[in-house]
Amino acid sequence: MSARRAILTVDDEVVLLLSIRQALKLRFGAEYIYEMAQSAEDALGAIDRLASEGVELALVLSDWLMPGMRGDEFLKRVREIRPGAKLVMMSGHADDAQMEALAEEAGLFAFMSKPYTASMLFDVVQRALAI
Amino acid sequence: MDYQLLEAFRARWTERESLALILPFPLSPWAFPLTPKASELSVAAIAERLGGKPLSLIVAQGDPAFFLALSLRDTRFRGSPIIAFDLPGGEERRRQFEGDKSLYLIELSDIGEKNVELAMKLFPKRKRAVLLLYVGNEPRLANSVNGRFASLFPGLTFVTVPNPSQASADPVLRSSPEDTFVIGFNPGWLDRAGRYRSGKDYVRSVQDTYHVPMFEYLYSSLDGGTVGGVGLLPSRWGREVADRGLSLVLDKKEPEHWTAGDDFTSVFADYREMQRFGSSPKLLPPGAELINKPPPTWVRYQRVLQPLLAALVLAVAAFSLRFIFRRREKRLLVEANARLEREVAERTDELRSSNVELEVSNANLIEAIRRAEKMQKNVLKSARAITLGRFAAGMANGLNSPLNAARAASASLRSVVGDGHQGFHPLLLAFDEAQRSIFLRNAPRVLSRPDYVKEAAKAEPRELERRLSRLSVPDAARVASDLSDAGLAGLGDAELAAFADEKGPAVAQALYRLSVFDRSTWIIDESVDRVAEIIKTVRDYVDDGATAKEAGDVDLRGTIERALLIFRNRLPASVILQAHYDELPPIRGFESVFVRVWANLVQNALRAMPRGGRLDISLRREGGFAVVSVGDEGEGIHPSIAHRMFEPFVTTREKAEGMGLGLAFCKKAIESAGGEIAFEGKERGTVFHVRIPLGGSA
Repeated sequence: MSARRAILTVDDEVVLLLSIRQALKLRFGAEYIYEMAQSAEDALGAIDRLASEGVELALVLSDWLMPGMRGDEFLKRVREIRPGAKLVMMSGHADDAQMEALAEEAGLFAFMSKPYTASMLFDVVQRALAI
Repeated sequence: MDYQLLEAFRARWTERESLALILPFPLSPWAFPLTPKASELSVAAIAERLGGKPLSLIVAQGDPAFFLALSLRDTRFRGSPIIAFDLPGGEERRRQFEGDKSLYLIELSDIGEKNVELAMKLFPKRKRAVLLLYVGNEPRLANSVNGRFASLFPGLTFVTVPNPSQASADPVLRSSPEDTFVIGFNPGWLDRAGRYRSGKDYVRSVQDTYHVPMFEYLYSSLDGGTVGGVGLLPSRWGREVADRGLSLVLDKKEPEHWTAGDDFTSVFADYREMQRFGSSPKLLPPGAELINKPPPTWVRYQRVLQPLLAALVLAVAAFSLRFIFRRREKRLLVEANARLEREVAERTDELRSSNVELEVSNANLIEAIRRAEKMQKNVLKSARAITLGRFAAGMANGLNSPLNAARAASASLRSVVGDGHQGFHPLLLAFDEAQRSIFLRNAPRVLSRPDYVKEAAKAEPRELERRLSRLSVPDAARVASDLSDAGLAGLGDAELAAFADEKGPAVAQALYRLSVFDRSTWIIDESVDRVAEIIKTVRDYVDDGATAKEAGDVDLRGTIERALLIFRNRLPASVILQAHYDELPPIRGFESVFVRVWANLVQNALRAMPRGGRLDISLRREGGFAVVSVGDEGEGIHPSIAHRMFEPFVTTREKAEGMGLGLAFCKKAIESAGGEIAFEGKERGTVFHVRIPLGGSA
């Protein structure tokens, strides 16, 4: 089986989740596996599953405010278990300065403030994947 | 709020030199005291601000301020008496500090002019600096009180301590003077029985309400849920606090260095230490001569009663004298009489001047009340501005996700419509007859997807990939991904075998791109619906009948039944509806508004008990009021959110479920109908009561 890399998107809003995934798949092609999760807990399950299939986790895009575990805690957890993955947090909350401080603290690759455009999203993902 | 109390202090303050207002940030009404280390740092900061002036009096509201006041008295400002009010400790606290003669404790229930007056009398001679420690539960409101104080007491010293979360977001705080720092931080609390309660749930609920990254971080760092302690937190992530040489007390670490594995037990230990400290207060300062019990009421009237009694005694004596000595000492009597009359006149004069004093103080009181009312109006005005800001932020936040989803979907659509390498067209044009036939055969399935919500829950199609590999389809992983996304994961092996061709992946890709049309329009439709829903919710909230032409006669029972009709098909079998209706005359109002209010309350009740229970609805007559009650048997309302239940955008539900406008609308609508709405906890669940005057609406 090919050694593909995975992009995991986590958001509790299904419509947004599908929309982001579709846009990413069209833009970056089928070289990547596009996983989706509607909560941090589901996402951790998906990360385990990817590992068991030998897929490298390249990038995680996570919403900040979700039921259950919040985005930054989740991403910190991911950093511990998958230090190689690039982490991006998305949020429409609070003030940007504080969010960015939090992003820095969690060792994130980027913080995206909602609403963002598709080209902003592509730009961040492209830089994160270093392609 | 104790504006009147504060006003009353002010009214007697004319000769005092300075005053400091401190606003620690308690997270809970049952806040526990500052840790010794935090007290030490706070005391040092306060002493520095006050330039070492002695304090004639320390006034403290609430527990944290009270314990800070104790620290101040026992360290830098030895011998300063303390008036502490608004104490939740009650009798127990009073007993705890019995014998401490420089303390004057005022219960929460008896704050008022009388007590202020008594308290002030206890400290009549000291006229130097005064420190007022004040704890506000709503920091922004407290801040405007602070501003009010600045105008009331020109030239006085102020120390403002805002809520760390709002220091940078709040326009009022942002413009506050530079000496802004944070003293209190308190994510745990003592319940009414004095047990220490975990801060975790509280922090979570604060986080849900305010979205404070600090608390988010704290909450997420605490596994197991015990945290306590009060420390100094930087209001803007450290700089200001660092500038003042203050440091975080919690676990001897700056919050920036907290990690998930940190042990907070030492903080907890700190709290226990504080408890010990609290239970054995420091010795009396030398020279303390104050009492801790208010004098009995009659003492207040002594000044009035004494001359009156004197006059009475003298008058009786005069009559007796006149009677006894009438004959024998007539001349003497006349003289004595004249003297007595003079004395009576003098005493009467004294009485009159006492009366004048009383009138003056009465006038002062009226003036104080008038000022308090004006201040309250100002506070309400700023509260309204804050509510509007929060409203706009909540709405913008709700619109973010659909906006983003629609944007991304439209970008996707554009890319498949174009001629570029993601284009749909160029693929099709390159197909031969056989490939086109596979495409056309599958296209209707791609375009007849019932809904995409399920798609979000599915994992990558490993099974499909394996089947395709078995059928020798090239590039099986990609083809599996494309077919699965096109909704074709369920194809049989015969159909799948058609893709086992050099051009198979391209056909699968074309089918996937076709699905982008359908999925994108679905996403855009859903997003637009969501936006419309938000706009409708907000419009419904704003429209409380004021836009309707005129009020009509409303049969309340009819409106309740109409509201219940909305839920008729959605009432789960586990919910038992129990309704009771008194016979009531119609009231004046807007029928649709009442229906919406009841519908909101019923919806909340149903959401509160997802596993079912009894839904109690009643319409009763109580005097001149109609009272509608809606009760559930749910979890009840967490005390941390109870006082904000009727504010817009406060919701206990996850974001997809609502905007938190339901109860805010109910309150607005009921109040504009001249009624009121309240809720109370039951043994199991919550009941909302709506009282509407029967005499007609406002």
